[in-house]
Amino acid sequence: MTRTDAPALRCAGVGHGYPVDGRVVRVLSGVGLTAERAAVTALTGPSGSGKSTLLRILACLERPDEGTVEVAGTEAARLPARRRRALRRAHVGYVFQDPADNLLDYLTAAEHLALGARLRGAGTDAAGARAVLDALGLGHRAAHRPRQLSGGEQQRLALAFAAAGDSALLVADEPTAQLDRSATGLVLDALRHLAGRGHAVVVATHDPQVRGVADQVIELRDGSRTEV
Amino acid sequence: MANWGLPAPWSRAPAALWRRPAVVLATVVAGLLVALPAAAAPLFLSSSGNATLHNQIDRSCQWRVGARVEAPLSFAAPPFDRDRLTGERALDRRAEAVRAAAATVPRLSRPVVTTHLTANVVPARRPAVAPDRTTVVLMARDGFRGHVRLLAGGEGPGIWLPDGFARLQGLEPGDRVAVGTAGGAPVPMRVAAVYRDLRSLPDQPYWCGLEELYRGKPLSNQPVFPVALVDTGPLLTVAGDSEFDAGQRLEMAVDSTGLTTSGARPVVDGLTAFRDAVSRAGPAVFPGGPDITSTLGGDVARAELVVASLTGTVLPLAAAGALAGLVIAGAAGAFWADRRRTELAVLSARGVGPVAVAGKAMLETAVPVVLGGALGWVAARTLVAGSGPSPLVTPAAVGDSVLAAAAATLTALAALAVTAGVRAARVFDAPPAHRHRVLRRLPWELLPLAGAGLAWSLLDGETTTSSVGTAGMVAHLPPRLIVAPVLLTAGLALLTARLTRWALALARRRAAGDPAGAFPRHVARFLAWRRVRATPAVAAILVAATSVPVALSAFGATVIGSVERTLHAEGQLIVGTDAVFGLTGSTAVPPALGDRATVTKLWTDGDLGGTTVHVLGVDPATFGRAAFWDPALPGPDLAELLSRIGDPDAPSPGAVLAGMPVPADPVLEVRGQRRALDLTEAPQLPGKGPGYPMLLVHREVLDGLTGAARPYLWVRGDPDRSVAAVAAAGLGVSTVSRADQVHQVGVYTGITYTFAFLAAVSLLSGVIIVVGLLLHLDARARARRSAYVMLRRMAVTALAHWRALVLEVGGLLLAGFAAGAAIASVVVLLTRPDYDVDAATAPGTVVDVPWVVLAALLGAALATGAVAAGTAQRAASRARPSEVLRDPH
Repeated sequence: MTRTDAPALRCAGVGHGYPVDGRVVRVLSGVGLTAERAAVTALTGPSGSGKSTLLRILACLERPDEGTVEVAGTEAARLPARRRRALRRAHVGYVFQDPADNLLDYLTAAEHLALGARLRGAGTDAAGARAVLDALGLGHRAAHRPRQLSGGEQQRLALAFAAAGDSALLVADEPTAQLDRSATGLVLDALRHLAGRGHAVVVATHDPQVRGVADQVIELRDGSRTEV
Repeated sequence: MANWGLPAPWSRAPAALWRRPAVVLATVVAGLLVALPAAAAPLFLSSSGNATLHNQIDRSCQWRVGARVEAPLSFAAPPFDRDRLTGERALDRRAEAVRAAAATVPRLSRPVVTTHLTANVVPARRPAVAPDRTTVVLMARDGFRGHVRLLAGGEGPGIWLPDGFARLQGLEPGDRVAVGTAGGAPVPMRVAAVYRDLRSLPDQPYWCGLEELYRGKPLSNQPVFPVALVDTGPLLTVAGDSEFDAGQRLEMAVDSTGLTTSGARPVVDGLTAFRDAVSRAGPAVFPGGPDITSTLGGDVARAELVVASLTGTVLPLAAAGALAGLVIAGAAGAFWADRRRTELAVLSARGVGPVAVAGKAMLETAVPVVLGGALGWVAARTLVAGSGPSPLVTPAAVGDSVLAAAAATLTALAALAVTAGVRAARVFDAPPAHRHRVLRRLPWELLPLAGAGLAWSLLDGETTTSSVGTAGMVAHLPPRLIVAPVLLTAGLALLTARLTRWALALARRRAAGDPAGAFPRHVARFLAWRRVRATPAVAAILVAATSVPVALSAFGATVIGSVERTLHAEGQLIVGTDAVFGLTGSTAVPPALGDRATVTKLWTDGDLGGTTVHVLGVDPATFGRAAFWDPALPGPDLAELLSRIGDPDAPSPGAVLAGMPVPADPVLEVRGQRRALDLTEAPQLPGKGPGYPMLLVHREVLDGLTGAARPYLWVRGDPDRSVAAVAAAGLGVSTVSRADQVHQVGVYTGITYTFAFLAAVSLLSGVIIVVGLLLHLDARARARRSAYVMLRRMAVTALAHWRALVLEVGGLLLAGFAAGAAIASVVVLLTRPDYDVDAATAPGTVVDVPWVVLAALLGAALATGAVAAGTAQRAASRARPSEVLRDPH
């Protein structure tokens, strides 16, 4: 059951491990957090601290070994695969680290937004999509395909694609890792813009610039949360 | 472009695939490999039926296949039956009736009329040179002049004499002779020509219906006379005064060109109507009724019986082949998902489920899979036409094969789509890994092994036969001979996989304990072994997968070869050698046959300890070179048996007995004369039929007991050539028995066709393994490229890397070949008694090891290893270090 008054994301006691050579290596232990709508949450921590694993669990891409994950009021951790997919489809947008991994090479920027809305069951709003592209500085790129865009433009388009159809939760795994400083600035503007439109944005990052725009910063160390 | 209301990734799917030629190729091949066995099954069944039909037609006399109307031709009507037609009037009326009835039967030729009687031919102006050898078969046959080999004369009317008779009587063209029947007035005739005696030539299709007249019936003691040919008019003149009826035959052949089992049915129906119509001609035309025979109906019924007996094994084998092809369809689905991994990750992250991804895969790959299915049908049609039992197939079989190919293609598409969907679902929703480990540890190989044991014990192991009419029978494959070996092969292959994996894992664990040594001297060997050891599951699958087609092909070829070799051995043993001639005159071995012939004597009424035995008198010095023997036969060798036949003048000469135990009182009695023998028992002897026991003695022992034993000339080698040589030598021959005719009435093709199809399916699965290997190598190409770049930096040469690949891939394929050959040996060892389809006749199974097939399979394994290594090396050598080092995967 989805509750509209619930925070976009809430998790508690999340623990997870991977089998390696016959034994389980724990990468997360007892992690909890809440991400409100219209806010940017930054997940930081050294490499191997469990950021990406937590992000995948929060985006309902992976099931935690223990703990609860509530997305838009729906407990997702124990859902069967089919219902977890439905939850992702309705409420979650995910952005991979590499810009090229987020886009379909045969679609234009405008078509990406139309597809994103369509997959979420929302009607195709050409004017709305155009407005989002304009707001992210991609208005002149509406008819361009990914390979015609720069890395920063691709990542902004990926954010718009992930947010299309009014997802409650937008999860991005180091979206600025492969960008230069000016492109990073534009992506951060896009993140803030999307948060301003009511999305709960959760970003894993090493980048101090990202931490600068976050409403909440959560640091992970050895799989556990440390308050900042 | 119309989007059919679908989101872009689906609406644009049909056009999307063509940008990825490797995936297009993989999906085309998948469609082909699934459709090929499915389409081949109905075509193969039909081809087998047609081949069986044509085999029977080809080895039968054309006139017996078509229709033969036989009735005596009277020349004197009894006083109480004045309306009865006789002589020429009867002949004309018969020909007219038969011709009219034959005209309505499709494919039936016009009748060829033969009239014959026994007559004497003597020189008109002098006494006969050999007065006791003047009898001939006087024969009038339509068109005979075009079907004999003319030696002299040939112009004008008169009698045509065979060369042996003419030479014996000193007659030449132009001489005058008197021809008459016993008791009839002689009719003067001119010798018009001398032709080559029919008995001195291989049988010709035109004369085959009259073979028993000029060559005699096998195992018959009726005298055989030379054939003198005349036109119908003179023959009727000779017969007109006769007290005897002449024999008469009207023969029609069926045009079998392109004849199929379904196409033969109207001919058979027409022949039935023909029989009715001719029979209705009544006693005025055919006093006593005509004797009408045709073997076509039986031939067709036997061909259909062969198809029925094959269906139960060919269809499951085809299904197994199609299932193996589905593995490639699944692999192609995985390949598609791998090539679409970015898009699938994007869509899956957005909640797109496996069904939608499967639908996308289906839309993308439908055209190439259907194209592959069409190519599979074409390949099946081409293969059956080129390598099948017969290029002929019925239209119904073509329709069935199209339907089967279509169904298989749709199944392949579904398998591909399902695999793609499952792969997509596993991008983010993979089940826990421990489930796979549990499934892997279960002893799956016990299931097929237990199934093989059950099938062997529960299913019928006897080769059953069905008779059609009185002309012959059809052998059916014992069900367990196909079910148990296939299950046993599958179980042993799984066991091979488990043992390989276990051995490699053990090697890996031992290697982990070793400290890192110096850089190896044999880099290629080191790399290959490390790579094999690092991926034990892949190595085990490749070894086991290779072993299955090798084992089944070798097994199938062994069964085919052994069934044929056993039947051949049985035929040879029954007759004694390739051809045995009953002699009526001289018993000298013709010089042309000196090194492969011997003369024996047979007495069929010997008594040994109260049991009737056939006594064969032989010359031990020459019998061994003419008699048949197979080293694979059980018991002592023939040379050893012949050495036991001792001095004929000894008080108790040595002799060999087969077919009964040595009696307490080993005394042979012939015509009241007794002779004690020193007997040795043997499991079988050349010339021993399934009936009476046989006693092999020195010829002089038999000569001493009776001078009336019948002489026979035994000749090894091509029977047709032997017949010609015997005729050329002028030997008087009463009978000819041939080993190749012993099993002629039986149809054993159902068994050999089954295993030919099994071998074909096995080879197809070999192709499937090659495709699977190439797909696997392609999937690992990225990792291999990275490794290659690193190895090059470590000064490993391209040649050393290629050698390592050859050793890695080729070594595994060779291991698979060895495992397959071992599995085939085990299967053959356990099932060999069932290869004898005529178990009542000695010897038992004679196993034929298919060395050529094994060599071909070994060559194929080596060639595949070389090609696969070359392909992988090419892919690796394309790597650019800068790209490899940036590649996050």
